Amino acid sequence: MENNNELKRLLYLSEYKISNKDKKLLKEEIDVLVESRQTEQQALIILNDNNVNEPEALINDFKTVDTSKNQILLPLMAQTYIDHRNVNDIKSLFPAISELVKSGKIPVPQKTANGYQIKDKTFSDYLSLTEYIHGLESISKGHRDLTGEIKDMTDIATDEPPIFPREGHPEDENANIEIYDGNDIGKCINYTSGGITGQKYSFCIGQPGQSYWQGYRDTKLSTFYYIHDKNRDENDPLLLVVFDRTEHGTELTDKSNTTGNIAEFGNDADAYEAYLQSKGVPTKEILVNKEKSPEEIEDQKKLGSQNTDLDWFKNLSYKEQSKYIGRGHLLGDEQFEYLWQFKSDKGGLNLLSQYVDTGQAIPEAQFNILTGE
Amino acid sequence: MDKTQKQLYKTYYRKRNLAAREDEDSYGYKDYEIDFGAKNKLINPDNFNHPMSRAPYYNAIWGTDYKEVNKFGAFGDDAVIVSNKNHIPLFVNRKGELDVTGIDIDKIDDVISRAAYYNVIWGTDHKNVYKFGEYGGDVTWVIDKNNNMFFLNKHGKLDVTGIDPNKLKPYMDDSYMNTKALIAKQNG
Repeated sequence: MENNNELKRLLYLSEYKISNKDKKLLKEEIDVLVESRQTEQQALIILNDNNVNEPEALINDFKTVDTSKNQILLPLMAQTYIDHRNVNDIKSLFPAISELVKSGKIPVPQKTANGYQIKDKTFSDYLSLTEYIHGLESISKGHRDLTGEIKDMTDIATDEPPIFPREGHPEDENANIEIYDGNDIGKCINYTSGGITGQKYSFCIGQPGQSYWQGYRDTKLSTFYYIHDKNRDENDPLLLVVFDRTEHGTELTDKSNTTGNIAEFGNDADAYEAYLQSKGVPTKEILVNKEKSPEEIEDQKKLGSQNTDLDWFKNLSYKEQSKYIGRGHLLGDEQFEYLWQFKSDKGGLNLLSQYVDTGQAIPEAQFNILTGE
Repeated sequence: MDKTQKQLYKTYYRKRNLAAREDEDSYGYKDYEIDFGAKNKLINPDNFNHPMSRAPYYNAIWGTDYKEVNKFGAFGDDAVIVSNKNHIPLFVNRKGELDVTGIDIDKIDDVISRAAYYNVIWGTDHKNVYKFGEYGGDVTWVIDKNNNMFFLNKHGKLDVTGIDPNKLKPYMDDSYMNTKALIAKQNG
């Protein structure tokens, strides 16, 4: 280190005299030059010690994929090559490692007598390291892409604003009524378990681990809305009403959870709708029946049933994994363990948060991992 | 355990607590959830309405095997009536230890709470202990775990001193005679 500093100082002084570059920029360039040179030297020593042919050419090849600062991964790539003599494999893995290191998601992996080490995780061989890196890359990238698309998956289930009062319609505030879109099982679980009023309800469409929501959607094209009538006190059964605009008509459920028969209005859904209109809610405009989208049909085929196979789960996109969990399916233990190893990553944490936020009991083996028991 | 892990299991319990259903045993909690949730104060025992639902929570904390645990508060903040596997009532404190500190026996009106009190004092297994002095003398009528019925004094000893047979209910006659016989047997 001291030698490096001395070398950097000499280079800086000699360059400074002849260069017009900004001092800071010059210093950075010299740092990169010296440090990179150093990691390159280390890599070279490793390859030479192991009698690798044409080590310089190999290092030049490695340098094309090591985008980390000061090409700090070169020694690890050399060590990896000693274990796993496939340049193409290494060149395909290390861009991902470079990106993860650069973004601070992982420290520089270390090669130890036991294999590869990333923080407290040990990978006994190259293959297990590869699986971890690709999994982390996929989850991390998936989450990043999705955050661009819909801000945050957790927000889907918990923090979406009501669809009424509408933006740009200040008159809607006078109704003192909020309407939430129940077009997602995760949202319904949240709303049913207290997400809107703080009270929990027994509406079956919002029970975790159940398939009622999807079942109603499939059989009568149910389109659910949660109506929070703030004109009502907390003991009033009409404080929260599930309004289901099916393809055949409207079905209402209040706190007593007897679908089709609510307080005050009994089975007269039209009268309740008229009541909402009298308060200023444009029901025909807002509480509409929604056609099944092609994506919904596809999702149902792919994600509608529980599948505890690890490879199947790993091959889902991040968004699909999120949707699968959001449907209330229990993960298999292997699937849970797979996600658990990425809990320090925002994407992994998001999926795990979504999973533990469904309100259903998870199996004991997963619970023990969750609680560290 | 890192911060993320704590965050995750707290989220888990927050939602499990909301999803807990009153119509299920132990509110739908699994044993392992109750155990961890109780020890880490992630479940509020006051959310359990039934003494049987509440028992697993306190058993996890106290390492006991009670079948029922009532709510704290009826007898002060540090005393509660539990029942053991034989359905025998007992008073315990916040640590789950047998304890009647602070209990005013004269303010107890029901036979089960009185049994809970005297079971701790006497080390007995009585289901019911009736009011002292109701039948003359300073004795009480009790029913034990095997449904044997007899009269005891305030030391928990068999005693019929001062009992007025005219004050006994018809179904207590056998108890009176049995107690007398047992006392005679004890005295040789």
